[in-house]
Amino acid sequence: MKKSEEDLLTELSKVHHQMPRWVLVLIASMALVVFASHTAGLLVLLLISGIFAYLFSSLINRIEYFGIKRTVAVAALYGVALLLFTAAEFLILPCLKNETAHLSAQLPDITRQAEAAFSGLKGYPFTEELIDRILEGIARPGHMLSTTLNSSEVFSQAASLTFAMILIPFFVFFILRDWPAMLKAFLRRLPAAYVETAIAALAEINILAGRYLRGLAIDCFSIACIASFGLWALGVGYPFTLGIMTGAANVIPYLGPIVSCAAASLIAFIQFKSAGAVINVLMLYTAIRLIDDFVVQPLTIGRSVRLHPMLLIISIIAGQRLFGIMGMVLAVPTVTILQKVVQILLDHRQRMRTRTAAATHIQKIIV
Amino acid sequence: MKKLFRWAFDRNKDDRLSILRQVGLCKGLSRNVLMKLLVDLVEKEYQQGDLIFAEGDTGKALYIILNGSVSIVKRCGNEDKVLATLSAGSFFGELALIDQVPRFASATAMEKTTLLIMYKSYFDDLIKANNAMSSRLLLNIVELLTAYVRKNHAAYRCDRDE
Repeated sequence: MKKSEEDLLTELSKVHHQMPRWVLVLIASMALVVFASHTAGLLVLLLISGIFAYLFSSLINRIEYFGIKRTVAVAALYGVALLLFTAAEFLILPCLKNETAHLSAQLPDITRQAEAAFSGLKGYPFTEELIDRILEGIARPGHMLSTTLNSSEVFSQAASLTFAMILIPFFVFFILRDWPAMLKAFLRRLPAAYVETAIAALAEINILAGRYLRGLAIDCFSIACIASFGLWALGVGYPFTLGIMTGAANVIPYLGPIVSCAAASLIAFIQFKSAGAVINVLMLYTAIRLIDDFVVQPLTIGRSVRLHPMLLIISIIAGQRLFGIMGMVLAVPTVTILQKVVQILLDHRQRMRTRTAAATHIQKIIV
Repeated sequence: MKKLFRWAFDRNKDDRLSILRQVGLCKGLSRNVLMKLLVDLVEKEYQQGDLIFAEGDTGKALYIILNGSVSIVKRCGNEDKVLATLSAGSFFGELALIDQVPRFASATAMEKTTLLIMYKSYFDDLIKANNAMSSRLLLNIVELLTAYVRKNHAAYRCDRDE
């Protein structure tokens, strides 16, 4: 090695030793952000896989309680899931496919009908601009469907969807199977002084995220069933599609229920062309909201999420700006968990101050 | 039937299960409950001399020794007094499960030691389940605390008689 190179290495090692830890953390964080921005699609896939793995992890643990190997438990879960998908393909999906196909075919017609139905209201003050916006909103998906159908965009979207449908189960399988080993490896490398804090954070995250995600899944399913049945009883078209949409939109606090209620009201208005039908749908959605707030949510999500309403709205908007719909869905549990983790870390900092003195004395005994 | 599906069962956990059976806290718990504890609880390996927790720390977890040994040390003025040396099948830090008061003594690994760690919020969840297992666990803890009280009472009487 040349002398100049040796000098350079010595200088670099000096810089490394002089560099404060926070600078290294900052550089590492920036590198991580750059990496994340370039691989956002893959990260979203990993995040979705993580959520699915988390939802099923307690079931896998329960199978393990009987002494069954984790790999066998995960393989059995995949077998059952395959059977359920096959059953759904024959029993539920045909009905849903019919509804969505019919809705897609009817979309241009619905736009025309909505234009005709709203035209009577155009004379009133402040309504003209609002009606134009609503009509634009209805026309846009119809326009998009008619222009992108059979184009290369559809193929690329279908390809990425197929890619996701292959990758997600693949990731879920390995996360489910290897999570205990990953946790063990992480704890093995963790210094003894940080173990209680790390386990405290993991336990709190597990309890909060578990209660929230599992509760939310049951909540959405219940709301989808109630909405489908209610809309079917009122005679509103596409009850299953709208019901599933209501259940899925329910994951976004405040905004989701409003959007799904607006969509169902619009379909009812176009179908029956009367304010009475819209009032019926509004009453149904108010009843669903009350049932959700006072019966379903206390039983499922409980009081796991204790965020101030203002912080809740800010986190949803920030989530949407950063990661789109996925960000809106995950904003609430993420902020709740962050709140708890910061509290645990502050506790840890306090504890470490009292601990240093005790550690010195104990070392003397061992040596 | 069980022989036919032997390949599906995890035999590696059997050794740990037999150690867990010896733990006073787990007395009377069924095999399934012990398996639950083995699956759910976090396992951590400590090296010789590692401080597991220090006197004065806010206690938040109970530790079960799967292998190795742990020394429990109390500071008395300027001196350090070894209260006990615990081996596989023992446990310590149980008071942290009842209330989060500062640790009474310090715990240090005397050799390469593997511990099973039960965090307070996990224990609270077990108790909230309000079933036979939670009653058994509570009863075991009450028995342990009763033993401490009797032991201390006897020591107090001996001191007074002297």
